[in-house]
Amino acid sequence: MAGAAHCQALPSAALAASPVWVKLGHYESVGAGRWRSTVHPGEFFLSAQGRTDPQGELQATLAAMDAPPAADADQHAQCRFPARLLWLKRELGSTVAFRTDIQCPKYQEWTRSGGIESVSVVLATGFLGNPASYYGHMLLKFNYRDSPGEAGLMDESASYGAILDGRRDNPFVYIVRSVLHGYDAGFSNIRFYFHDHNYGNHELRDLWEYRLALSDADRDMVVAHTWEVLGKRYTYQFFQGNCALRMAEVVQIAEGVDFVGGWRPWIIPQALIRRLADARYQGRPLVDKIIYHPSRQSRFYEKYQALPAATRRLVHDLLTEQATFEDAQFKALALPMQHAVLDTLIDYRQFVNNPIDEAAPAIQQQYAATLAMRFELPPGESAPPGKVPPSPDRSHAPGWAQGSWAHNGATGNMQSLRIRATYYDALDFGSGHVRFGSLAMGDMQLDLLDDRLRLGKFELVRIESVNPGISGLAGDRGSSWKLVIGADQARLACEDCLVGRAQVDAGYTRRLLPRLSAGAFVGGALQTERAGQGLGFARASTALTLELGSAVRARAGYEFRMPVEADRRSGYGVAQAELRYAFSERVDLRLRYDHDRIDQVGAGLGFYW
Amino acid sequence: MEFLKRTLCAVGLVATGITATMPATAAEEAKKDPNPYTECGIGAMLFKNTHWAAVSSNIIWDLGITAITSATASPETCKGSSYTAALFINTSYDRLVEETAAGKGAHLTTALSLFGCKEAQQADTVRQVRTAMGKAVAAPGYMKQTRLQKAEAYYSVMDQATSHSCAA
Repeated sequence: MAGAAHCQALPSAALAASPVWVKLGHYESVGAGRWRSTVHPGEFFLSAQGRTDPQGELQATLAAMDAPPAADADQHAQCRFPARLLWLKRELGSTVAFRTDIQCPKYQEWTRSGGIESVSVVLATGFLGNPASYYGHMLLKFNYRDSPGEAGLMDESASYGAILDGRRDNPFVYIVRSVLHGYDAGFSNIRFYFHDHNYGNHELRDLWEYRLALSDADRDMVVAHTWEVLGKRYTYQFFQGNCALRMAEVVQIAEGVDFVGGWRPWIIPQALIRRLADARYQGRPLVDKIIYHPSRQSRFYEKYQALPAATRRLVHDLLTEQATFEDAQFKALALPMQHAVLDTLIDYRQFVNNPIDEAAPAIQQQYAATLAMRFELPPGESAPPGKVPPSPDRSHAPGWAQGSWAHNGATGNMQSLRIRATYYDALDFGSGHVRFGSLAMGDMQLDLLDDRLRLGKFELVRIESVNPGISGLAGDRGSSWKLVIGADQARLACEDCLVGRAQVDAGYTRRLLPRLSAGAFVGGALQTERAGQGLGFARASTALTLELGSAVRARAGYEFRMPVEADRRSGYGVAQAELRYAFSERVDLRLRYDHDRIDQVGAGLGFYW
Repeated sequence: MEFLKRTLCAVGLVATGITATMPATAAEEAKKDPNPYTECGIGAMLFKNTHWAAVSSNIIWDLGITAITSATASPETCKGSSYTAALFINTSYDRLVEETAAGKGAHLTTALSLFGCKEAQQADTVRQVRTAMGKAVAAPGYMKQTRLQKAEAYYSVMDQATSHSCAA
């Protein structure tokens, strides 16, 4: 009876159209005043037509909130939809008395009865070993008031991803299927330590935690809405309906929070983090603290680089068993330095022999001996944490457009427009990117030569996975690889010799100095046979990349190509050099020189978007 | 393996000794708690609030955690603090044992709090755990143990140490 009185008296039409109700239902406009939720039909809706009828869903919700306690307490609407209840109380609390005899044991257990102090958005940096993880991953972390330590390892977290339903798709099939909306997706929750382990130790990815300065009421709404969407199904959309957007939708339940902005053709986690870091909330920054959770690899590099040169040589000698812990060289070290050496060795082994349990017996034995020595010495941390690197929100926007001019020794002057959809190359990598590496998709250049327009190049994907090889130790010697798929003008001297090309190279990269990286590769290309350019070539190549300052980077490379057809002429050399100057995060200038029988020089002004 | 058996026997003997002096009702209560390693299938219930195998990191290709034992106790009895602690130790074992060697770290602090050890009691507990684990790590065959075996041993060491030093 009380429920019926509520339904007749309430302005549910206006309420159903309110922005918060639309967000709570994940409704999207499909035109002509119609709506459709991105959540699949099922337990998320209390009305049979709830997915397409926001008003009907609101009516059903109001009625269900007033139902008597359920046999299974957690199945009551107040327990299943705590965010809806919070919002309805706020909107209707002065006119409607919601029943207060409903207990929600599971929800209370999850929130530790209101024990969540804050919410963080966590970014796992991109990982070039898995196409599904190229652009990073975002998840939510719920920080309990009584969590021991700042890391919050026992805090709850919620992560959104594709549901495989038992499929064993390889990474490339995954990419294709997710672009074609071939997977369901949803949120799962787990204690944060699992992600700390999986990302930090297993996938060797840094985690960056952006703690949000939400009011208590808005924090409670975000927490409650996360509970509502756990276990519900969506359609996974690689470009837009991915982890970044779905996370943002949950956070944007809080009124006044909007960092997604308008429609975008694609949403990239790290790009969204930039917007999150810049967002304002109630007159202050939305993010009040950034916490760095370094990966095992980052921790090893930090420890190794902090060692004096002589101590690094000792590390090398200990690993190659040219020295032992009984030697005077080790025993003479002060205790903190002994700790530093042992911790460096431990992190090194876990980095290159991950998982250590599956390493060769001799490696395992060495690791165990190092760990045993660490136990044998008095306890103590080896060194305080070093300087935290720049956070990923400090990197440039993902898109880049460039207008340029060039003079070609054969074809004359050329004006070009280049648009790269995402993301970075060896000269403009930023924080959270693979240093001296490349990850670019949808890179197209149009050239204007003598009033004739041509497609200069189109790269569907360019990946340069560069291992910095900082220590030069076994397993950290800089094995790297490159993959480029697209279309390119086959030779510099021709006006129209566009060929489709797939290029693969493998080799090594070493960081010779903190700001100088050198690489050597072998590989080749297969191409469409057009304009007499043959089927492809094998090649050996080298490249040097140099950071001349915080805003200046340069790269020079040479490759020797040998055509694959035996009857073709002998091989030939190709050289490139490029200098980039960043005026700001938004604008850069690039000067370029190319040589392939003839010379081409050019300059371009670029803009990040 | 041999050292582990001796350790478990030693722990068992200690536990028996403690049990013999406890009031019968409390001892019976202690016996009702399932062993999280042998009765709760550590690793099998990792995503307890979802129905699918892996929904994380866009997708997870390999969790790196496999359940060696199958759960023999009911799900309801396998969600207490001992199970939570065992799951944490199993997942975080490497970092945990390394921080124990150093005597400090976020994983160590977390493990201590899971065993109900307050901050003022932790120093003494860490000393005991460090002593026991130092012997375990230095013993021959340590690396031949499975991850689950090492984690179970760590759990036993931590359980014993906190029982002595962190009792309310």
